[in-house]
Amino acid sequence: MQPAKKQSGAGKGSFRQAQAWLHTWCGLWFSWLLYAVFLTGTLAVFEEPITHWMTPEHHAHERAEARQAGTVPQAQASLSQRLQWGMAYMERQHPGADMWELWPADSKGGGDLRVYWFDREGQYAAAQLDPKSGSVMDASEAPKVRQTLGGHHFVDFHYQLHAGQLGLWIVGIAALAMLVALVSGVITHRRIFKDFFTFRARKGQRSWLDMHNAVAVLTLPFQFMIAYTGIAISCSTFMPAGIAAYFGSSAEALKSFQVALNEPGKPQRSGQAMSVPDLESFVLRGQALIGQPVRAVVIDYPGDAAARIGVYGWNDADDLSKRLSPTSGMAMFSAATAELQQLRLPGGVDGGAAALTQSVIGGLHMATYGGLLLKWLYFICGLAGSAMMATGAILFMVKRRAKHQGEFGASTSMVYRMIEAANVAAIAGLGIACVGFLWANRLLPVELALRSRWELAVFFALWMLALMHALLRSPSMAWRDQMAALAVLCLLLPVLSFVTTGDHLAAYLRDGDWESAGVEIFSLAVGVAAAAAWAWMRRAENLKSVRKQKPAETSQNLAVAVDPGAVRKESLS
Amino acid sequence: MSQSDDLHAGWDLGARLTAAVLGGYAVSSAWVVLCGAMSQSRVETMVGGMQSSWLWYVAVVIGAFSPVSPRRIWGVLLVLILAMLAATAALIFLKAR
Repeated sequence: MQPAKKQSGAGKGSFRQAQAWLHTWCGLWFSWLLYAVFLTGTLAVFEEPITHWMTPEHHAHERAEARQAGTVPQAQASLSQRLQWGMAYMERQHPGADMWELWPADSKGGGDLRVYWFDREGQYAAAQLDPKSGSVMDASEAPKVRQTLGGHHFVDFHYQLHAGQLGLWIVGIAALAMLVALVSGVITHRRIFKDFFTFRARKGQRSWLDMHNAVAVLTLPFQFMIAYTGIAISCSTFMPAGIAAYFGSSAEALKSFQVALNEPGKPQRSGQAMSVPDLESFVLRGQALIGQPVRAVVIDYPGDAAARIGVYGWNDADDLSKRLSPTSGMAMFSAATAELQQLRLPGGVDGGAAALTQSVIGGLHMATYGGLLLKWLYFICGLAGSAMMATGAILFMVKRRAKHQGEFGASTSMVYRMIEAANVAAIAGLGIACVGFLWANRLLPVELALRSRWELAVFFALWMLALMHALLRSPSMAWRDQMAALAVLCLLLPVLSFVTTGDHLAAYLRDGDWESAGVEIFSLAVGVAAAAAWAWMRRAENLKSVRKQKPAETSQNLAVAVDPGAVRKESLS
Repeated sequence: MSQSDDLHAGWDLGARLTAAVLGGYAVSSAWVVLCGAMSQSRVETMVGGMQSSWLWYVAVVIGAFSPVSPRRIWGVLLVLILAMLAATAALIFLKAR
């Protein structure tokens, strides 16, 4: 469908033509950013396995733990002992804090002992205590492991681009643009169900269009859901008008809104002193009430007579996979009277329907439910979404390579050239940056200061290099170079890992380390796909130059075959 | 295309863009404020409003790029915003009595 010249433009032509214009331009300008958000968000589904692969020093430790799992655990401090150590530390070090939070043990009663509190500036602060002696653990005593952001890099990048609040807003705007592009895209398509079953391979522009439609239509509900929930998770940041109107716009007002939403019954300080009672009885009652082992004990206003003791539970993985709302159980007691003030069963919320909806929105977006199978479904749908944006951006240029449309007046060719470069760097270049991040994890020295920042620097530097390369090379060569680089980096990742750490795929499979194996197998799969794409591009390019050569004399020198410009000059003369 | 046509096209696009971006945000914000007025506790309905405000935003962007004159689009937006704010004031006034 090629709208006539006069009918293309903002709000021109029929309703569908106007929406096609909106879809094209809204889609194009946001496609690169959205592709980056989608691809990293898709990788973020497997945040833990990636972190696991990126901290090889932990592997031996974890293997030893797994071997011990069946046997009698070594002498460990009891829950009551851990609670006492935590309290002793808090009373000694942070008597004036507004809140104490103890994480006494993992769900089996072992593991780390951690404490958190609000410091004088109202910031969340943390310390780790030795679960064998109760003394503070110095970070330098911890076993030497490589400092890394691990898979969290992908989580952070996909929602705030490592740029904090500013990044959150940029991603939020892009997500809204995605909703607009989805709605206008659906309106543009009159034959949505027919397109469902249509794929015309090896037809150039048509194939790109069919591919774009197929991945979009097949996963449309997922794309809507993930974009919408992504925005709605941060809705109180994006839509502060209501809070400003009814609560005010200060930081204080925001806090009172949060309390009204999540903790409607939170008391005020009384001003009368009262030391915190022994926690064990509270914890035991709380565990019985919520039916979960204790994860955290939160004491509001410690040292005050109005203090509250909240007992939070560990979610059981099987149980969690069966419900949409990922909250854990919570029992809140008055410290003075030991009376139960509030009880939240696992999956419930402290507020009403809106708070429950908010919890479910978070669960839907982060795939906290449904277990491993659902994570794979999210992963595949996420890849399809990335493919939707990539094919859309490519389609824009394929269309215009065939027929120059002059949208930008005299500078159209230059803008097209920029868009071609942006496509290469955004699609292939980001892949290089992601796998380069994993390479940096293995190559940077473990002792390096600010090591996790250097890993991040490698990620961004590779991406920028890819953009510069794409601007300097001709588009078709840039595509091939970067696909080749991606293939090489992905295919050699397991080799690199073997050389630097001694771990390898066969050992992972033997030890049942599916997380590490998954990372390397996926890397190999991407490598094979990139190599195939490279070979396909080379063949296509060769075919094109052969076709161009035909009308000219067969005795042309080789320069003609590599330089299409020479052919044009030849045919003009 | 003459110069005045270019200028006109630029104005047209600018008016649509601002209607979509700023107008859409204003309508969504007014909706959140209106939802807040619907309950005494404010929070419940307001969060519901925040969760649904994106329907308004997307609808306004789609509308702003439909084949209707920018003047009409802006007219509809202003009526929508004023209606929502008037309803908010009316609700607060009625509940306060």
